[in-house]
Amino acid sequence: MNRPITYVEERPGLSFAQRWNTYLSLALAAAVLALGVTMRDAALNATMTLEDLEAGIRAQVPQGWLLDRSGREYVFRAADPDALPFKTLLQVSIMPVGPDATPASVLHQIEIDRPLRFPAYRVISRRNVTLRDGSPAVRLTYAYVQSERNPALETLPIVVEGVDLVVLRGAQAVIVSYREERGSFENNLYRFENMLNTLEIF
Amino acid sequence: MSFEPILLAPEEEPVEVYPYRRVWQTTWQEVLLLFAVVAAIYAATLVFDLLPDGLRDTRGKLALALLPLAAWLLISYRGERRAVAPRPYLLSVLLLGALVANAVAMPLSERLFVPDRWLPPQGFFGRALGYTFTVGFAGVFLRYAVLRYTIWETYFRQRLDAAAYALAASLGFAVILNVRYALDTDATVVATGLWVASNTFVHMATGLVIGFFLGELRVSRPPVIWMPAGLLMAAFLGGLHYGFRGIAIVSGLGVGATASRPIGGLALSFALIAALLLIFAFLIQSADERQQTAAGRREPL
Repeated sequence: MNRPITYVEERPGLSFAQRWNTYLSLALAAAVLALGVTMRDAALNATMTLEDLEAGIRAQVPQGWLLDRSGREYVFRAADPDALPFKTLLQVSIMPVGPDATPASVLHQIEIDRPLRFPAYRVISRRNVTLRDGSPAVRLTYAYVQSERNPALETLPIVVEGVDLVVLRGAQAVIVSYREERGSFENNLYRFENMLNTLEIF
Repeated sequence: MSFEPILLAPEEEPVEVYPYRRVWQTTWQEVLLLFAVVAAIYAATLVFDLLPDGLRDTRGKLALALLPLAAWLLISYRGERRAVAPRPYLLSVLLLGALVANAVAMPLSERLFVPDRWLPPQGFFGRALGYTFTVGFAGVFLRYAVLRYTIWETYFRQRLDAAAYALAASLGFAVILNVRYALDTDATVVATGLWVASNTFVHMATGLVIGFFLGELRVSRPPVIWMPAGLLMAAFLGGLHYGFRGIAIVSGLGVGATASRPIGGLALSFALIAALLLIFAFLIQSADERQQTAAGRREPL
């Protein structure tokens, strides 16, 4: 009677220490990379509180950004000094309004001189939104072209995309703005949302 | 009547032929060659004004980026081919190191870790730890994986094999980063040379750590946390280098616009690889001697 021939390949197995070194290395890789991403998030999303008692505005803005509180048109303006080719901008402005004003009418007023100040200004979208506290607001998305003023630098114009959100608070309108180079607009939009979510008007 | 002839000269003892390539010797040659070339370019540009400061010739930058690979092929790989018992998969491991750098490490760094966006403003410890736990560990683990899951089980015959293979994988890894730096940035030739040398040296240094720990894991009985500790140590070494490099470059006193000292980064990286080559040559030699003594093949001193 013929018996089937069975062939078993024998390879020297790993020792206990070698096997567990391999397992623990894999576990360590997962843990360290998770820690690394957490550190990155903490550094990139670190914020500081910006408060203007005179205007009654408090908000969280990214840490390390350049702050400008000297302008007449805005309460504060924060710009990312490391961003290229456009310094990412977050801004909060206040505008006095009459008793019959609506967010849409304020937005219309803002838009009047935009085409004169911003070359190739185009409105992308305009929609009514409701904030977390239930307040009605209007959100405008637009784009324009920014050119370097110094011709000696020989740089190409860049397309800037922006968002303005208008909400009414008593006798004043609060305008929260975000501007960014078109290619990075979506990636950094969360900074605008973060500031909006932490904005307090008192 | 016969008698044994009396020899006046002592009997010659047979000389044992060393069958493998001598890793330390060829690695030192490569390191010194790269250091000398970059130091010469630095001197010709910033000391003697023989080359223009703003020279940005892409072919020159690419040649500098590929110089470590050319040196390795001419010195280490040719030496390996001439050895009695050459290590068989050195070139394959180098190519795998390059592949994981391009396919995994670069996308991880550019899309997930984005170190340029958050590490530079940090303090020294923030920079060192941030780099260690992101780009540093990813690079170390990828090179470990290349070695561990391909040739480690079969072709790590002795501790020096681990050093040779780890250096090859690290060199392939570093060359991809060099080429990307040369092609993707607007750096000058001298800045590219300094960056290429620093990057290559630090990857070789961390590769030595990975190789030493992997070699011990193959030929001896280390504890179960041996390899994780080695990976962490290699990554932390890279992180420390990243932290100190910023200090070494910007801490110079000078009357220039930035008071920077670009040669400081090169000196730091060269000191790192030189120190690690000496340390691991000593550690591996003494471990081999202890093992031979224990096996009874060598008389204890």
